Amino acid sequence: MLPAEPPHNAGYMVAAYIVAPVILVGYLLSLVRRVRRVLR
Amino acid sequence: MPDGLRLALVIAAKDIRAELRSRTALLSATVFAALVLVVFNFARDPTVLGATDLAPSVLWVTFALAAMVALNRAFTIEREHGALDGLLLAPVPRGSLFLGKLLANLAFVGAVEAVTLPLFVLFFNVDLLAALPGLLGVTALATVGFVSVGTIFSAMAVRTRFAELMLPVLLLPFMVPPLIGAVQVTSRLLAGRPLSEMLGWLRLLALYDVVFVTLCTMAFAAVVDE
Amino acid sequence: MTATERSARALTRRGLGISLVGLAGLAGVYLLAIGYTPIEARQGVAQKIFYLHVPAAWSALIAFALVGLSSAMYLWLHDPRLDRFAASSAEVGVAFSAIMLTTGPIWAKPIWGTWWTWDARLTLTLFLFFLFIGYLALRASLHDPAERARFSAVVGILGMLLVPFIHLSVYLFRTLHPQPVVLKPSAPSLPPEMLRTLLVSTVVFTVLYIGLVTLRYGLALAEDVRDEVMDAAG
Repeated sequence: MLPAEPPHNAGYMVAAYIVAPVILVGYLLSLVRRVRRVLR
Repeated sequence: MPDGLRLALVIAAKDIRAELRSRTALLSATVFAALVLVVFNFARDPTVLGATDLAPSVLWVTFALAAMVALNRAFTIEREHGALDGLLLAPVPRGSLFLGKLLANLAFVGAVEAVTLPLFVLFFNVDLLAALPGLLGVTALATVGFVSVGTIFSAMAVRTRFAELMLPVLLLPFMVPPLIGAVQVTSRLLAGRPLSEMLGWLRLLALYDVVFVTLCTMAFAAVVDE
Repeated sequence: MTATERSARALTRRGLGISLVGLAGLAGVYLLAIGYTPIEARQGVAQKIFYLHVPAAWSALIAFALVGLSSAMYLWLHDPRLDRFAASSAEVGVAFSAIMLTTGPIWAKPIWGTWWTWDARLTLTLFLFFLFIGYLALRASLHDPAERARFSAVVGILGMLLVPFIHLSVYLFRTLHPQPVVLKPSAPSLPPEMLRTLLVSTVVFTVLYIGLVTLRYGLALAEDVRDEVMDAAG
């Protein structure tokens, strides 16, 4: 008997792999903006 | 009786007398609790969910929300009358001050619970009699838990601009373990289950109380002193 | 420029640098996850969310523990640096919790069929998220630095002590309502490629934590300098 194929759910992986760096970069950019407002 | 404890009782008695005179916190919290119970009744589809399934959760959500209303009012009154400053000038040990406030708040919240419970029995047709002693016990345990943290947080919240919002935001996560324990024990009590099924939760409630009453008593100084 | 202002600038620059290194590392993790690790037979490609989700949860927990510890030390030592660090760790912790709380449901949906499960890790991180938010909201509404530091420290300590109770509650709750375990998110014995990638990802997330906290700390220092100047000017 052939082993079942793994489910086709790459879309979810892509979504997660986009969401995580968006949060990180978004937060980083907000920090940089706040620093510029105070220090420059 | 040790001095610290006697002092706490004196402070509690003062607060309770003050509240009995104005009665604003008690009244608003009680009316609020009654309204919540009414809303819960209409928010439920009686053909799908029996009253007994929901009863413990409804009771405890009501208690929790009413407690927050009571806590907020209690400290706001305090702030308006500026009584706290006078107490702070006196060499009152901060631990006793906290215990006094805690006891007073427990009296307020306890009073609201005492009025809410019969309303709950009335609206939801719940047969409480057999479970009553257990119910009183678990109510005491859970209430001590969230009122202790609520007392210290309301002392902090009252110094912010949006105290009515700050208190729930800070307090709700802390209410969850006592709430879970209380609901679990209450539902077993109402179903007539044996004590052995509730021991784990009761221990959790007791441990929570010991840890947080102690911690809040120690931390109160950091909140009221410069 | 005062010495403190110089430190603030240096810290922000260093923090930014470390964070960028971390982001580069993250790109490396993506390559490993997509090219190097095998596809899990039952979960499919979606299982690879694991390499983001688990390290994010771990970082959020560490961030939180450090807020609690520095809060306790602040109440003992009254060093404003501890307060600044606690505030920084809390903010960064929110970011990591957010990653965990978004990747969690995105992973859960294809695997468990539901967006949310009240499993121990997700529930705990949700609580951390709310505790962080409460902490930051309190700080934002207090303007006297000493009062803000003291009050947040109390919340930090109480929050740290709440965590074991949340854990215990969820555990007690779970033993009564066992979840139908369809697929366990992390297999009991991971093949070496998965383990290695997970390890690399954990290191990357640690680097990101350090970089972001350093940057945030530098910002806090700069803001304190500015506030002092404004207070002095009257």
